[in-house]
Amino acid sequence: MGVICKFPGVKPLLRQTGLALNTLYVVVLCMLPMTSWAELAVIVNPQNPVEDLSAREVTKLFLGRLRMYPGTDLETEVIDQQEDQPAFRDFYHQLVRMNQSKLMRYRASYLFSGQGNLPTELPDEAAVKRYVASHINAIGYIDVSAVDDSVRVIHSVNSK
Amino acid sequence: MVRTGSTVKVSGAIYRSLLCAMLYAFHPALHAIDNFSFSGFGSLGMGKINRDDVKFMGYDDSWSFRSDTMLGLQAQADISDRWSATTQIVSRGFNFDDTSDFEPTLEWLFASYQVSPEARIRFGRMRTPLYLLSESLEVGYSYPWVRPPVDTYTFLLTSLSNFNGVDLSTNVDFANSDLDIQVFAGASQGKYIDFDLDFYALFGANFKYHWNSLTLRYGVTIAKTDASSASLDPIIDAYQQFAPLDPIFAELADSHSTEGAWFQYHGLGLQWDYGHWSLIAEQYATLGPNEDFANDSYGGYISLSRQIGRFTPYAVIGYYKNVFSDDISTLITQSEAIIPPGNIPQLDGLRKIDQQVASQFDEDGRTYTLGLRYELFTQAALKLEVEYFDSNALMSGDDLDQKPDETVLTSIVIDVVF
Repeated sequence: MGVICKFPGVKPLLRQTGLALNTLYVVVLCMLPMTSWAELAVIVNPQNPVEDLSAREVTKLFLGRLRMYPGTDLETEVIDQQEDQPAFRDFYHQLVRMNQSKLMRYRASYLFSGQGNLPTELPDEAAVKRYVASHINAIGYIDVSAVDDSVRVIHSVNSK
Repeated sequence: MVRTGSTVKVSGAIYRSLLCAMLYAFHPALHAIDNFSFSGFGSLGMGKINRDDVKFMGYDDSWSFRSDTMLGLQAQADISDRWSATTQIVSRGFNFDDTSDFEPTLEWLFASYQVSPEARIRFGRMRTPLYLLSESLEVGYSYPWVRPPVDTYTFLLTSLSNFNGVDLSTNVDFANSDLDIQVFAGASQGKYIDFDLDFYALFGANFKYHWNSLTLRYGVTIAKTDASSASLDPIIDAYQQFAPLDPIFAELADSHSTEGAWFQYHGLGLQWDYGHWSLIAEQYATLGPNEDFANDSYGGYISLSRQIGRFTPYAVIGYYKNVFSDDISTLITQSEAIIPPGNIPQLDGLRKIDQQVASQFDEDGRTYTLGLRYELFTQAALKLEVEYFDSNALMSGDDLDQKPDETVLTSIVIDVVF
């Protein structure tokens, strides 16, 4: 039942309506997101000096509002997956809270208002992992099950 | 007078000197450019209004493909880890200045240096960040509507849309929110229809507060401005002829242009995304020196949209109010005490015409817009829109104050980014 706490709104609901009657609903509520969203790891190169990043820092990095790793003089190179990848949808929905069309509009306005470059897009998870493993500036996201020693997890999307 | 507009037309000289300056600045690093990127945005639009006695942005009562059609190309080069250069060239089917249709103009050419994780400095020609959407004004794909709300964006921004100068931006992080701060300084000049405008000193600051999906913005820009129009020369010349009779006529002649006057542009903006709903609202005030040929203007809009799958219906209400300086009418009244009407018929005629000219700049209106955006595919959107204007304030044509007030504009546009 520890999982419940991760979903805001579930605890008050529980308190209001009584545990016994609603345990089933709570379980169902918890299972729906768990089954439809993958658990993602935000990964960097093992040489990257940054210990960890908050959800807001990762969000700002992927939206281009932060262009260097906080507290360092290291530039970021943001690596994205193609839009047809399930991880792409999950990442922006869960962490950045944007659906695809909203993100595309945001990026158009970001790019063409001269704010900076958009992330580098790679075809899939394997390509992202390979790239991050060989570039000290790079940051990407992959399914947690694909993480290995070649990269370091700097933030987990499902365990904020 | 500051119902102003039109992009600064790129003179070859400015372009060359900017380019030379940048090449010079980066010469030692030129060989190191390993990261060039090209991108672009474009709109193919068509529209018409329901009447033939006025025009709106070049639209009349037959379908035209010109006014909302444009193409922008952008190139970015990462020169080193911290230095980059960006240029943008835009070609438009409709211009408020004397640029020929579809003539490419250099919108930006700037170098950017990342000072720290938060701070960045830019030099060159950039967008003037007057209001919430100023910097991506023409990127139709990035907003729900066919064009940004006309009461706020159409006229004011075009000749002030760029400036040559420098800006510094930084970000202050709080526990759950953050603030973008930008300060800038520079100069700009341009033409709006027949007005020549010179903003020879320009300063501004912007504050953008982000909290979850809420953005609040306040921006202020002040610009020392010269404004004059050749179309007023006959009136000025005529007053000069009466100047020997009394100095007030020389003063009247002078009051038909603005020199070295500070104008202030204030803008408050709000953007809020809640689930599939999106609310955008802005309010602006442009404050002139309240003398000579100048005006204050106010306007704003509120826009609500909701995404339903590939469709995003939206509704916008906007308003606009121009308050012309009463300098000219006060001077005319004073001159009538000195030389009362009935003595010199030519002078009476001149004063009458001038009163009419001045009163044309006192105007206000509202707009109501309904539209639908449809995502054609990932990088293209189709929009249909109907906009109702309850006044001729934003129309062009002769004797607007004697014509019926209502206009309906229908527009269709396809926006792409690539």
